Amino acid sequence: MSGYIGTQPVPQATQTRQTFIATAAQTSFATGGYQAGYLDVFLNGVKLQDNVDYTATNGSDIVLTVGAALDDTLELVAYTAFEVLDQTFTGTTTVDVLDVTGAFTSTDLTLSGGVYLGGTGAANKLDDYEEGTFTVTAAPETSGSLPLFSTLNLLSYTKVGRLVTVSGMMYFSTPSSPVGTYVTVSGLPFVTPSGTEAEERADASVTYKDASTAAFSVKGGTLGGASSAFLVYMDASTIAGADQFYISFTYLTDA
Amino acid sequence: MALTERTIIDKYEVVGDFKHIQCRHATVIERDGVEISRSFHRHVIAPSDDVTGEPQEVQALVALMHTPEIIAAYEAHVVASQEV
Repeated sequence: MSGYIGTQPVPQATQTRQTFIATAAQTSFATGGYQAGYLDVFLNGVKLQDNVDYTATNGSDIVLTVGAALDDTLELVAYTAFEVLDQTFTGTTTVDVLDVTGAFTSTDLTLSGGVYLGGTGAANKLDDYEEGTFTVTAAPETSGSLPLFSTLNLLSYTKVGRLVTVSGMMYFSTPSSPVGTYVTVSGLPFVTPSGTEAEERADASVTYKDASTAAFSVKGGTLGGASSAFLVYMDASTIAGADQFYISFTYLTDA
Repeated sequence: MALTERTIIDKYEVVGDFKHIQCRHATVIERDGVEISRSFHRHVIAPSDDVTGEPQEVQALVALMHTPEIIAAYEAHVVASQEV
């Protein structure tokens, strides 16, 4: 900016001006504040040279090298970063880096990545949310079959990060000679990880309703590693038409 | 105003040591060509699963990922898991 008198202002800065009337030999002037390096100082209209005619380093005081004369006029022009207050932006606004120091509110927020909570490591990153449905099938351990009503085999899932919560009810239609000490329920929406020990496994207990007696009982269930099926431990031969499994558990996934 | 509904598989995820294939079916509702709703239904294809009823593109992916070695390793894993 050739020909500009004074500190070249940074784009989108704001100015604060202060004027002082000096006493005889006054050297120090207490200002309302400035950012070191972002100010112009004038004495009787003549611009002073930073670090030669004055020093201004502490953010509040201007100290003249030579004391002013009585009734000299010292003028300060301080530049501060441009701030926007109570503004509304319409349309698409692109921001390279947004550092929010106060509260942040939004109607909808869309992230193509994730959000770090409580740290910046991979273990702090929440990067996925999804909800939907999945269809299950059931099979006895050894032989026979355990078909489900086609309109009562849909369960729901909610995935938050690596946690998957499934819930719903499955309704047996016409079991055919089921035999076995457990029932395999297949069709989970996400596969479990392959753990190094057994940390990926989960409890998958279900509430079993015996339709003939309307009695409910809890049957232990397990979900192993690298699997999208869980096992419910009960005598499969006792399952009859109209019996039900009520399901609600949470497990881990890698995806 | 025309409402249309279509179902697509909008995401495949190949995960884990045994290349499980997670398929996400999206049911998309559109009004005059503009999407107004999308809901999801999922299923997982494990090695050795029967995929004859799956779309051709899924079968092609299975053929690529579920090699005989992967299937054998997965079947061994299933047996080992049941023994623990």
